[in-house]
Amino acid sequence: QERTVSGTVTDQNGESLPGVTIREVTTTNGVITDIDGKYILTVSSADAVLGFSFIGFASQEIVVGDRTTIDVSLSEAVGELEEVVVIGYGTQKKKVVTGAIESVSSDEISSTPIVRVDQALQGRAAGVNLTNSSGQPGEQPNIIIRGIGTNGNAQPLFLVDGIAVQSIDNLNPADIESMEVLKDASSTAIYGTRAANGIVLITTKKGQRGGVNVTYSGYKGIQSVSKKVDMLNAQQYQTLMAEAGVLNLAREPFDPNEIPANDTDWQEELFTNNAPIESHSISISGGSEKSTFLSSVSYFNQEGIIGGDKSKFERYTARLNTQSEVNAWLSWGNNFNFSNVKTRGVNSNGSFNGAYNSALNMDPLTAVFENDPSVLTDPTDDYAGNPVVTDSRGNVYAISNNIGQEIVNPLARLEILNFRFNKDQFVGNVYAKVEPIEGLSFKSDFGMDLSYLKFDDYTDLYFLSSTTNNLNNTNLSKQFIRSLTLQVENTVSYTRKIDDHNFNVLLGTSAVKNDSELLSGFGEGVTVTNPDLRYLSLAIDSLERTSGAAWQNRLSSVFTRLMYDYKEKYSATLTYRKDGSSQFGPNNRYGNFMSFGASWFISDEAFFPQWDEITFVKLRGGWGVNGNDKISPFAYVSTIDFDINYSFGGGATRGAIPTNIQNENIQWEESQQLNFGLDAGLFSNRLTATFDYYNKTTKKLLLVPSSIPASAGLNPSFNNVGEVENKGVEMSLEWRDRKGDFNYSIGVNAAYNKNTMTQIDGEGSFLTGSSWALAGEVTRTFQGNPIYTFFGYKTDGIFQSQADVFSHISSDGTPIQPSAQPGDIRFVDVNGDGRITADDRTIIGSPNPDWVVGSTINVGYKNFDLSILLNGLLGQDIFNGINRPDLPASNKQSWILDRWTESNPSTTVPRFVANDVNGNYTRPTDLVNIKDGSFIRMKNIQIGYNFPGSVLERFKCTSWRLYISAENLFTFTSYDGPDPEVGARVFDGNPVLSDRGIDRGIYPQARTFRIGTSITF
Amino acid sequence: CGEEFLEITPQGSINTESFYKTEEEVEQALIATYDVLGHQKGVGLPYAPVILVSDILSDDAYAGGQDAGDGFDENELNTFNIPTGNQIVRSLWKRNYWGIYRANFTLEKLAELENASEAFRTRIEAEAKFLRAYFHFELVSLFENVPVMTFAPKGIEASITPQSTPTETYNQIASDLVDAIAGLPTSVTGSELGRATTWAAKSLLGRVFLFRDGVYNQNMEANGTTIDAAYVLAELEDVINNSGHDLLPDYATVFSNAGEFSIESVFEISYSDDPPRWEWGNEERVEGNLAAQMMGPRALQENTHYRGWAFGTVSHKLYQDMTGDPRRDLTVLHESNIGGTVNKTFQHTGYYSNKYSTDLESQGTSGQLEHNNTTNERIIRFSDVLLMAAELSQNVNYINRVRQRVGLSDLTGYTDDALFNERRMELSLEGLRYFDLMRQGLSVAENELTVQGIRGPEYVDEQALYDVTFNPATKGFLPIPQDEIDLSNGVLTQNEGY
Repeated sequence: QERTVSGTVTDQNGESLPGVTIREVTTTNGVITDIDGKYILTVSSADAVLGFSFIGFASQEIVVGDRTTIDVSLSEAVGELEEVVVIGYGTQKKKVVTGAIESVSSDEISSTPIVRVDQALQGRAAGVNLTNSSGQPGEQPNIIIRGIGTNGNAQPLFLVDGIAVQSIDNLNPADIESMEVLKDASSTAIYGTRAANGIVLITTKKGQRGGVNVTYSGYKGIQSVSKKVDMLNAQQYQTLMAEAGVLNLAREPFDPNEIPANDTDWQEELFTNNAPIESHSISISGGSEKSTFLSSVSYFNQEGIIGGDKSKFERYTARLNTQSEVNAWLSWGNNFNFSNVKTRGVNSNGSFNGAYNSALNMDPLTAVFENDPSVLTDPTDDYAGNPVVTDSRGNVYAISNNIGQEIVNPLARLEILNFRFNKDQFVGNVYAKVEPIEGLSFKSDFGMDLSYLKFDDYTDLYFLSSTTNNLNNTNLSKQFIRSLTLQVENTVSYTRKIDDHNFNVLLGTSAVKNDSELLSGFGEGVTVTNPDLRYLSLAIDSLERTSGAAWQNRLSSVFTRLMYDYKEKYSATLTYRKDGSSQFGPNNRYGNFMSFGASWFISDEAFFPQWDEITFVKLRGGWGVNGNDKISPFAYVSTIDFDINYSFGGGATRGAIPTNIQNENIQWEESQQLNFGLDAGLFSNRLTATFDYYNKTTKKLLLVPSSIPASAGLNPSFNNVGEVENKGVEMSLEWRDRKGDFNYSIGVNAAYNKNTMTQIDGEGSFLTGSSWALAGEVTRTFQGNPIYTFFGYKTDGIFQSQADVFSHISSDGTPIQPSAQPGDIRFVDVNGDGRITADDRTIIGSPNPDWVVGSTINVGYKNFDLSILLNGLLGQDIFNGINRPDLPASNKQSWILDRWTESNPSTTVPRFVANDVNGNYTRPTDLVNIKDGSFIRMKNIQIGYNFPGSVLERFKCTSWRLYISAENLFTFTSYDGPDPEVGARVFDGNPVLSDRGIDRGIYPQARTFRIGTSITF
Repeated sequence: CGEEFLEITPQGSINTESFYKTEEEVEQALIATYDVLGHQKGVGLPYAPVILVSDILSDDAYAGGQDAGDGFDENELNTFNIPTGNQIVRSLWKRNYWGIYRANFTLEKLAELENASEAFRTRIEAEAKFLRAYFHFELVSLFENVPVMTFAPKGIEASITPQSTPTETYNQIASDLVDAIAGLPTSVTGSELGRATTWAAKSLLGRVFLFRDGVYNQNMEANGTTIDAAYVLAELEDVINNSGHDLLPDYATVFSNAGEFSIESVFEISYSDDPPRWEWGNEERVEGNLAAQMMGPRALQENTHYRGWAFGTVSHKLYQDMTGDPRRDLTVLHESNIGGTVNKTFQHTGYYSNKYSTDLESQGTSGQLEHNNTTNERIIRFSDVLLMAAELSQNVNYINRVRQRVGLSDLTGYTDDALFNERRMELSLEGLRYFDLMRQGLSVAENELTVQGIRGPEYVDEQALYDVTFNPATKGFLPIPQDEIDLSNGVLTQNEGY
């Protein structure tokens, strides 16, 4: 029967705690302590369980029983050490963890409007450099944990409930319970050949015993561009082009005195204001004594700030997780997730067909639309007789008379995009766990990842310019990829405590197989142009093409781990894994990986000074070896390319030649890592601190050299090319405290990394990088320097006079740049041969940040809360390549107005002339292109309100929170491009590391305002 | 899991090691070698049709392109301000080494082949050697100091080979051609049109010898036999007298579709729209003629021409020099003869090539418009064979045979001037002019190639853009691509003058 319970809640020092939530577990019945920490609550029966929870304190549950007074002392963050963290194939108490592991909680994951759960790592986990590839919805970010340890794919391995997955854009962030980032080798080595770039363990939410909860969480928001690049307006453009002697497309000079008929701000026209973003998620969870479940559905939709629904991400998910105890020794469970993802995208960072690049380079003299009928019908102009592009109302997009090539009306460019991507994915696992005797458990886990990917494209007839057009025929292409990964894992775990000695032994086997098949079709002459009705059956020209491909890989492993601790004071972990992988040929199929880690809770020692200020100190250390096998399947064999034809008199004759060089000896990238760490709590754990130092060496880097001698006669294949070292420190500090109704925490994390390519194998002395516009390579890796530094010409100011030109002489006294003029760049003759040639190109900057920093601030006052997330990168350069210098008539950033002239002897902006013989703008230089890319960004600020008990009572809910939030509100940077967050472009699901930091007019991050709520019944 | 779990082999593709086991499969390696003839660029590099590039180097054409940026790399070649990093140069280099690799690969697979007929062996070997010689000659005439490759390297390190001396390279070419002459068929028909004949090899030997003799004043040696003027003249006269090749009656037919694989074509590179191609980015796989696409005028309406890219705009100098010659209007396309409007572009001269162009007859019927131009490249025409024989024999009758076809009066006596003038009238804009100048000696080349102040009535841009100064320090050769030097870790060395 009902009874009333009262009491006082205090902290461990006996001070009363106001604002503590007390809830009758499994019901909606609850109350909050008053200013003196007192509470009164009527509960349903003596069996009722009270749950006490308060930010910064360990929660407690107490059975009421006969008592009418229950005083509770909540303990502060020491409790944190009692928390359990997820490690590979198990969990471990934080106090005895020996590795370097970062945890991100579900609250943190759901506080920002992320598409992909990995984006929650940005700013939150020390040593994790997450840079968005661009602001395009759903684009895969670049994640680099502890520096780049590979030339290839540096993404960590993601495991969702133990299943290795290829992508995680299928997950609903609201379904995630926690994410653990395993950074050092002692914690990742259990994943052997896939672990060298770190491991991210994602655990999904499970149901709780007792009652049924329904939670809705969702938000709606609007997104806009936060910063436009300052470009020349029509008058400035016209004046500059006239002065420089640039000609328009009719090969006529610009007239500086003409009043421009148009002054188009292409960025204004291109960006969508108030692009929508929304997310809705409902979950029902609960359970009985023996069995729990969580079932959820969600919808997410985000349109981009460029292109609206041409650049979007849309996702539906449905999840069912259950856990059942069949009897005392057998339990059974599953985690199933189905998702449907639809995306559309624009080229987010391209010199030649980038959506934003066109807007930045397009001349402001051209109008958005051409409405003049006399122009549209003029047979000598571009419009008449050509399939010009129109908007939905039939307005004809204007074609520039001033600039050509790929620089076309950006709105028209968006109009012709019809690419669509659709993915249906099922990821799930079913497991059984048997515990025949206490401490011993067998677990069998069967997992699968089945996905169907569809790529759909349609090309209409169009005419954007005389070089960018499709005049022959419409065509459409479709591709389907079915990919199935099956994983079977069996583990045995035995836990035993003998006196103060705790042991855990794990033995396991794992087998993973992936089979994928591609089917594609192409047809010409499409009869229907409705974008929703484009099927190959409607392509009626006789010419049709089909093609296909298949990939497989297999991974077979055994592994073991021993964990030991004595009184939780000394602990040690030993792991060993043997992996066999079909990625490598018979010569190098198997790899052995091991690690060792230890920790010492030194403050538990008797000799440790008993200062009040120091709550605890723990030392950690570890060493391990792991690998990376992320290359395309069958890279060790050479296959035949049959897409080779030569037309003799009788028509096409098919040839056959190897696709690429055979390298049957390729093997794992092997990474060795040493880690030392210190965890400490001070001032009763109000301040917690973690420091780590690591030294990681990766050998036998795997790479397809992008450039090999032509005499090799074939395309290159994967090769083990060298050795790279990453050394760094990581620290995170958090201060948290409360005063009465007011509580707050401030966390700061920072990581410093130094990356060095210590060795490059083979004949070449460098690794070729990525290119920009027509200037060729602008990144390269040189031995003894970081991976992929910016590569170009070093400058030494600007010639101020002809005398200056003739004083820039080589050792034999001859002028180095004899044809230079005042206002031209003075190049450094790096190799000292008396001339400026391609040989003088050298390292001119680095896209690698020195520091990756983040900060979280949380403030709570009564029912209000405020949180702020900052993230930043410090010390890296950006290659500003948003301009197309090979096209003199391209629009320019307005700093060019400060160009050198006789009356303006500028020392930073060279003269601008049409015939740029000196290469002031066409040569990549530290002066024009390399910019400081450091930034600190207010990633998120959120203010929330939690409705009080009286309101909850009335609406029969247990909690209800409303919030407003803003993302990317401020960015502190000196970079003059649109966005200093310049990630590498993603190719085939793999961020191309050599492309980092090259800004070709990158699709910027949106500034978002949201309103959201989360309510639980 | 056992070992067999990991024992998987590629599905959906065929392992190289299990292929090339039959005559048909080895022949496919040879087809792949011919395929490189049609590549007008190196993989991953810019378009570099050698006909266009050599004409831009010559006094017959400018860079062109839509604007200065479009024709940027071409203009570096046009003005002889060629940085060692010029990507067109590298593209030329790469195309030819890929061709050489495939020729060597064919020879190696042929040697490994069991159970092949002797006739098959003889012919395939001869064709592979012909192609290997063809690619080596293109390299040595453009770059002079090039590595000779007579094996298909296995891997990157094995491919790094030091440069041979020009003598070594020319002797290798001569040996390959002499072997090819012995093994090639005397005629091909039907579905084999375009494959090398013994006549093609003899004529190519003539072209190689004349360049070797002109630039170096030296003979060649093939497997111990001296290849001198008499040897080559005999081979050329054999072509003239016994090959069945002859001049077409009408010069106008030569570059029309009807002239493809005609009696006048001794060797031709075939282009087509079969199979049609759409994609941008791997244009070496395209079967169409990119040179014709690049040189075509930017015609707005498709009355006589579809839209080309206006590279290699033809010089007023050539137009002027051909005044009065009946072949002028069949060689140079004047803008007034193009139906509709023509976009004026970078270095607009008002003249375009009429031999390789975007005339409607050569437009592909399917695929991406720009990738399916069907014009074949007439590499060695019978008139060239006649003129080569004339040059070696100093026999004016061979020249007169060429003149008679276009209704010109006979010359009475042979002079080198008359010979080279006839070559210019007959063969302009076929990619031969630049090499003809080089073999006449550096002073002739410098005199002709340095063009200052010559301006045609239709020229648009400022005069400076049409002024060219030849750089004799380079002897007319291109720089060894900087990237190749870097990738060889310094095994390759740069040419003089760069």
